[in-house]
Amino acid sequence: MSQLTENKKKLITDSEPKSPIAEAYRTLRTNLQYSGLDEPIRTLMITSASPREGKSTTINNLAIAYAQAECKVLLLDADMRKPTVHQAFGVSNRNGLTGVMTGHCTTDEAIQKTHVKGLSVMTAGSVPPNPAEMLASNKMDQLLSQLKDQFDLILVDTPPVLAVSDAQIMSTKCDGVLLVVKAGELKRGLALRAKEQLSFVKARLLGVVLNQVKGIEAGPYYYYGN
Amino acid sequence: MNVELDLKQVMTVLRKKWWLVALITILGTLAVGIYSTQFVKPVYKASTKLIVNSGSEIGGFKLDLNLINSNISLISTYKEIIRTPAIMDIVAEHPELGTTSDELISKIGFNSVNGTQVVTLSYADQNYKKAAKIVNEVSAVFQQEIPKIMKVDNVYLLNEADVNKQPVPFKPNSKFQVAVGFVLFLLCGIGTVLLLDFFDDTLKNAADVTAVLELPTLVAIPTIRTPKEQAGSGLSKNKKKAGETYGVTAN
Repeated sequence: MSQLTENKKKLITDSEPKSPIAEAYRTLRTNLQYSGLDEPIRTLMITSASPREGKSTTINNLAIAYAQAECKVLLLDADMRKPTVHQAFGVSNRNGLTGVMTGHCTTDEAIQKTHVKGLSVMTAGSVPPNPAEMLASNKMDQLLSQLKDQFDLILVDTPPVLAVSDAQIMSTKCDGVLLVVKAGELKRGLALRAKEQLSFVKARLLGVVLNQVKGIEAGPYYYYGN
Repeated sequence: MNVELDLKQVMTVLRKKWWLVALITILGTLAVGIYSTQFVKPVYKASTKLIVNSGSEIGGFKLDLNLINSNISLISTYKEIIRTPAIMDIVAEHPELGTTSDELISKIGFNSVNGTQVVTLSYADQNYKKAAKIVNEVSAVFQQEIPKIMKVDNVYLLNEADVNKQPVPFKPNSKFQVAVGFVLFLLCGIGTVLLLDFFDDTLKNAADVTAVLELPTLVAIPTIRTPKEQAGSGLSKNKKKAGETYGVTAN
């Protein structure tokens, strides 16, 4: 299967907005909007306990779902160890977060528009030697507050919690954290450890996105409409 | 983890993994079937009937209950006598039977019929003719030797085994074995599936997430499938339930 069709399959909210899966992402959007009534969520981070649970797929589709609701969204790829956002949206990864942080380019240069209306992305840029320090720096705080002025919502993609400390660091800078759990894959112990790691730095865990739920478990609403 | 077995939960698990139950059952039953029809050589059983009845020396037609009872008691004694070399060595002397007295002792069957004076002698072998010959010979020798051992002549042969009969295998009983195998492997399959589920330590649904992480599940996203794959799944089956938002908790 070519890279293009593979990406299209993953951006299902864009390619098949009427599909049940796209509907699921809209449900997620709605539930997030309600969970942030008192304290509006302006920066939302997505992570998982272990790799390959569907963080990037979730964040890409959620970003599109927000954009479809006429929200000005920036998708920030803070997974500098294994960046994927540029691949998913088919944009260049030359200027990105690393470039901004090291002063090689301006914020505006690093922000790229996508084919989805209202959705911009800032890719990760070249892989730096010290991602954790970069995310922990004051410059990161400044960048986030600057971006908050420009966008309604910033979605942040991060590495898995249990692999590196990046997600823990970013979670202290974001209003809310979503934990993606691949159904039938993630062991209870690992899930608990991931939650503890995030709770330790006082991250605001909004809830869990249960990903790749199969058949019966997915429930009947899967088949609603055509 | 909730150890309590919830029937509904068990049914859900079985429904999800029914193919594994079916696979184990079918393979197991098939294996039993093939084994019992192809690998186990059929065994045939030949039998003779003897009656233990003394009292001929009293003469006349007189049925004495004590006499009958003592005859019945004698059967137990005979049962042991027949399993001694005293009888079997004589049988084994016939070379055409091709057997030893030890083998005879272990394979001969001696059963009295429910408190009667009738005794069934049986012998099972893969060759029916051989079994019939042996059992006939044993009966004859037994009848011959008992008066010498017990000093009473009270064993009579009722019927001999018919050497030329078309035999029906006494075992294996293939149908029975397959039936038992089916039930056993069905239980085995169900057990395996439940055990696998019990040891499955992963988070599978919103209930697991709530129980373990104490976090709300904001959404359950189904596995992304191509439209072709989706067309194959039961659309109409679930339509009546449309509108429910299972696994979605508004927080």
